[in-house]
Amino acid sequence: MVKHHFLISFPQAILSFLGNILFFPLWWYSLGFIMFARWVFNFWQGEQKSLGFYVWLKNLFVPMYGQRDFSGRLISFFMRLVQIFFRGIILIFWLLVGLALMLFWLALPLLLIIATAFQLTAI
Amino acid sequence: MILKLENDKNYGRGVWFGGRFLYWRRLFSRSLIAVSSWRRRADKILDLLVLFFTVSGWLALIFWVFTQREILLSSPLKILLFWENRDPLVLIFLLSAWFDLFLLYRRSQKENIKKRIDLNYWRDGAKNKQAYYNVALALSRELEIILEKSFLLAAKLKQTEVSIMHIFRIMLSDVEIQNVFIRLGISADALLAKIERHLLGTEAKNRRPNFSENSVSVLIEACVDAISRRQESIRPLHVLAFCYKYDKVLAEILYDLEIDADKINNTCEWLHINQRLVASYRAYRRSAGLKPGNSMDRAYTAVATPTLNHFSHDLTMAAKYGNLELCVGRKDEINSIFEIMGSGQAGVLLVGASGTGKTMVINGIAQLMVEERVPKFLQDKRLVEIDVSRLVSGASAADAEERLLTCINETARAGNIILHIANIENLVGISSGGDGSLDLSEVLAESLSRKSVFCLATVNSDNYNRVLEKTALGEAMTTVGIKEPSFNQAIQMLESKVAWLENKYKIFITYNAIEQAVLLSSKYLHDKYLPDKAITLLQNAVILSTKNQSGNADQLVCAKEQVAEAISEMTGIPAQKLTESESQKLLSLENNIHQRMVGQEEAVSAVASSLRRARAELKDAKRPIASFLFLGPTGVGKTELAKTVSQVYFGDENYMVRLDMSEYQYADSVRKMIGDVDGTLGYLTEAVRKKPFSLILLDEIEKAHPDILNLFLQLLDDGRLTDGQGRTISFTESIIIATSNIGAIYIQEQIKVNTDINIIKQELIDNQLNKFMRPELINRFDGIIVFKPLTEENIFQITTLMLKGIKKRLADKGINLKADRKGVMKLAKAGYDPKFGARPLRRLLQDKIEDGIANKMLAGELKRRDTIVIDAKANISVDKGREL
Repeated sequence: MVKHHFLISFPQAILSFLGNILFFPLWWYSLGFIMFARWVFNFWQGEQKSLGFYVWLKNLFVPMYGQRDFSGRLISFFMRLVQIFFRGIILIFWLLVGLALMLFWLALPLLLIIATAFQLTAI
Repeated sequence: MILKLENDKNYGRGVWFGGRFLYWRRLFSRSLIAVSSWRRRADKILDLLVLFFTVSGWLALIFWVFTQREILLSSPLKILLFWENRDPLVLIFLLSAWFDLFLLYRRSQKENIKKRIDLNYWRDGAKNKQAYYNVALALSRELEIILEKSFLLAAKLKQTEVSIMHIFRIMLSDVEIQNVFIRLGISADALLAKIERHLLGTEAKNRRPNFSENSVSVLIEACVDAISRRQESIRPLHVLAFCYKYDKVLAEILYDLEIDADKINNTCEWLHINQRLVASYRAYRRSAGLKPGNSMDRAYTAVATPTLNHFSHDLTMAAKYGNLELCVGRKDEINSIFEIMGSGQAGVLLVGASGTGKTMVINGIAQLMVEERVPKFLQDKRLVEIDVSRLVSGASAADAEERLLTCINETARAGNIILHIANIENLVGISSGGDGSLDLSEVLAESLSRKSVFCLATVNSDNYNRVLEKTALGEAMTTVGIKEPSFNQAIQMLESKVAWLENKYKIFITYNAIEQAVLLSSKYLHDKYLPDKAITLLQNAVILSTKNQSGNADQLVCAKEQVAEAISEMTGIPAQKLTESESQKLLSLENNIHQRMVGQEEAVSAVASSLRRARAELKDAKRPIASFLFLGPTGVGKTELAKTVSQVYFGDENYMVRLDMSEYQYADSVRKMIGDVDGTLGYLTEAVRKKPFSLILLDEIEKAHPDILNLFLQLLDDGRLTDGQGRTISFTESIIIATSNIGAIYIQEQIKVNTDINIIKQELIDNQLNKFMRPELINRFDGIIVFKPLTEENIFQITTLMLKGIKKRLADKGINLKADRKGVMKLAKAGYDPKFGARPLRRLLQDKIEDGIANKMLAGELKRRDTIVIDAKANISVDKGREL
């Protein structure tokens, strides 16, 4: 009984160990990419929160500093537009950076292969 | 939470929890364990290899940059195109880069392995998901290894079951578990030896061991615990708390080391609290970064509040920058505050005794507001504390009212402010004069009822009842009671502070110190409340130990002895008396008393056994330690016994409060005894308030006015009195002794005819005492003790004892005293008077011995090294000492 277990479980363990190593390339383009994409998204979300972009957008027509008279409302509307514009630009910048990073993740193994091949052809 | 484990016919022992059946299924065998340990080793080797290649790749790149430094310095951007340079070093880096990527893979795998419990699965309830859950899948890696080793241990000892004891034995080598026992002050070796002795004593049969039913129960309960704590896996710490519950022998072993279930639970809880504090602090710092750092809200809709800013400070801002202490264990109170505010109430009043943690609750709310983990109406708001003393200082009442109005207006206009006013009762009674004018509290009450501002306020419960309850402000606000925490809650609150204290004073605090701080402070600091008084006490103990042990700074420890020392400094109670085991003191009580007292064997043993009974039966915590009524003729040692009890039990005669009841013969004496509303302090209540740990001697109780006797009726029953100022004074740490001469002649007559002492006592109670005292008062004494008249033999012993006293006093002056036995006998005979007991003896010794000695001293006949001799005729003479 005990021997029987060992005969089954030992090869199983070896297989799972090797399988674990071989799963790596697949992981890079599946679970790994999802994990990285999630990280990029969280980072961008954090930026969004610290800029308060949605808060500015939601309050576009709400007067700033409690100035509820007509001129107050008018000035704060334009003030908010300016704020939203600049904050939007920063947000788009971070979005692009994030997308570039994700592309880099996907391309990295290929780049490594190309660079290694380039090095090897010389030798 | 109490779980009921049951047996399922398919899954075996388990429990229903959160809509699922938790069971245990896992196969253990030597070969499987060998394989899994091989697998772990292989993983470790793989990790090391990957690390090695990664590091060498980067080193190769750095070395390459170094060799190319001149080219790279001229155009640094070329470094980005390093791979275009054909160089073996670059090739090494490129090849090792694969290991960098592999490292990421391994890391994410390890993170996933840590998360054995899927919290989403448990959050969703049982819908559409598997209803049976195998606890074995939720084990952390450490626990897995522990269980494997326990199995191997049981197999090695050829035992049929892997018992809790096996698991516990292996767990002792886990770092976290070791921490628990270090905190408890237990040496692991002592524990290990006891456990191993037990394991070796268990019967051995050569079969493959299975996990015993109790072990399975422990693992299942640990799993439930881990899930309810929202942990990622079951760790050894979760298991530890339940080992105690399921293994009676283990419980006994631990009990021998003075560890009970509460201690284990509280210490485990301590480690959980510390982990939670670290985790929540990290999350807190992350979200605090997003809170605006000025008085504006995120959308810039708020209005500047210059006046309010001047008279207040911003609690959310303090919380954002980490200046408020973390709040622990006040979830219920905070939730009920949120509920009240959510239901549209504008004012919430936290009512509680000072020191119960009202300010901590407010701090907790400020921290939650910073994290934005609050209901919607509190999000993106500031919590601002109005400083009342600042508001009223240097201003007339009218000015103060105007300031408050401006603050309230600004708050209402700003729209992003929640006001907090600590000790709101201070606003009551400040009015700008004139009959019709409002006072400050009414100004606030009005805006609260208009709901133009939100306000959280705190008030002391006494002040609430006295000042606030009937006012408009009290009615405009909804109260939330902040109760004093229970014993274990208070311990856990202290535990959350320990890390801070340890860090500040560089000291190690044991669990026993914490427990002792809560225990002693709740026992001896009556005017104050938990957890504050326990925190203060612990802090004092820590400071004391840093002072006393400053020599070896790296081994500073604060244990329960230091706490006892601190409380004795705060209250004057002798510390060693608290820690010394009371049982020892009680067992030798008779001997200790007889060292000072002669005769009255029955009375002494009645008092001693009564004191023992009171203690051993875990005396009713709401009554005095003991109460006695001493009956007997004058001069037989009633007062002396009271003094002796005070010295033996409390350590000093000075712990006695003596009241001559003949001074309390009139009805208005009650005022003298307990004080009155005008501020006169009561003699009795004040003495006990200052020294709760004392003996109260009520001399000649029959002479007191009946109203005073009624006071004692309550005192003996409830262990407390309310003094003239309305404070409750606790007598639960006092011994109460009343003496009386009632029936003295009757006692003398009956003793002469050898009547049994119990019959005399009954007669006294039935026919003599009831003429002066109500039967219910007589009944409330723990013991009524009859003192016999002294015999001649007693008097002889007393004489010897008194001469010893004189001898001791003379010894201070370097003079010796010798007495002939016949002389002593003669003195005893001369001083004996059946009517007055030993009293005439003291006078006789004064007249005959002490006066004589004094005269000789003044005449210069007596010098150092001389000896006074009392001869057979009881005359004194001087034996000259040798000259130097």
